[in-house]
Amino acid sequence: MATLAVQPGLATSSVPKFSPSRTRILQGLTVVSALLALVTIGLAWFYAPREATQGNVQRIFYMHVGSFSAAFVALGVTVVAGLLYLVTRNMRWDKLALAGVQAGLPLATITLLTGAVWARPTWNTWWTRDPRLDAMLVMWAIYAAYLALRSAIHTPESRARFAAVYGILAFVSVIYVTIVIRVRPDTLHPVVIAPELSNYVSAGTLVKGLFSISSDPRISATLGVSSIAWCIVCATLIWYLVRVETLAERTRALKLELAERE
Amino acid sequence: MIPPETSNAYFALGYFTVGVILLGVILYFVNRARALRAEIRDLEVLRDEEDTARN
Repeated sequence: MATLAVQPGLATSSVPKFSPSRTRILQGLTVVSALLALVTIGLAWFYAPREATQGNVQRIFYMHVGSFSAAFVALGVTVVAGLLYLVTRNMRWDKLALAGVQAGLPLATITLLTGAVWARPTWNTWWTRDPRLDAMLVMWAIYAAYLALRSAIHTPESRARFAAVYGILAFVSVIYVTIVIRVRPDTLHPVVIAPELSNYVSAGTLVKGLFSISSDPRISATLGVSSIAWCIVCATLIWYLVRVETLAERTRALKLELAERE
Repeated sequence: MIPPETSNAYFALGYFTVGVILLGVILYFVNRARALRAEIRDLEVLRDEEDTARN
C-alpha cells in the first residue's frame, strides 16, 4: 500500500476547523476580489480608449496581461514556498507551493487562450510559431507536468522535496516568457509595456499593432488596476486552495488511520 | 483595420473565455472542498463505529 501524507496532530482531530478571524479576513478578501474584478471589467470596457485599428478586441489585453501578472505572482509563490520547504521541511510550505501552481496554471491558460482569441482577428491565425507563444506553451506544459508528476509520487517527503526543486527550476520558464519579447527580435508579439511606442507599421502592413501603454494614461491606469485586481484574485484563490489541500490532507490521515487498524 | 463586427465578436469571445475558466476553476474547487468535507465526516463515523464495536 502506498504511504499517505499525514501531518502530525491531524490524525486525532475532526474536520479541520479554520481560525474564525482568518476566515473573516478571507471572506473580506473574497468580496474585495469580486469588486475589483467588476471595477477592472468596467474600466476595460468603458474607461480605456478604443484602439483605432483593432477596435474592441484590443480590450482583451487587460485580461491577457493581468492574468499573466497574476500567474507570475502565483508561480513565484511556489518558488518561495519551495525554498521555505527545503529549509524548514515543514509540510505547510508544500501545500502553499502546490496552491501556487494550482492557481497559476489556470491563469496561464487564460493568458494563452485570450492571446489566441486576440490573434485570430489581428494576425489572422489562432496560433503561429513565435518565440513568445512557443515559450508560453512550454511554460504551461512544464507546470501541467508538475501537477502530474506530483501525483505520481506517493511518499509525502519525497513528493514535497521533488515538488520544491521542480517548482524552483520551472520558474526559469516564467522568467524566459517574460523577457523573450525583449531579447528576441524575431517575435511578432507586441511589446506593450515599454517606455515608448515600440509597435509599428512596416510597408503599410500592421506588424505589431499600434498600441502601447505610453500612448494614453487611461491605458496605463486600467492596466495597473487590472494587474492589481488579478493579483488579489490570485491571492484569494491560493488561500482557498491551501484550505482545500488541508481538507485533502485530513482525508488521507483518516484513511491511513482506518487502514492501520485492519 | 479589423471590421468592428469582427472585433466585437472576438472581444466577447475573449471575455467569455476568461469567465468560463475562472468559474470552472472556482466551481471545481468548491465541489472538491464539499466532497472532502463529506468524506471526512463519513470516515469519522466509520472510525467511531469501529471504536464503539471494540469497546
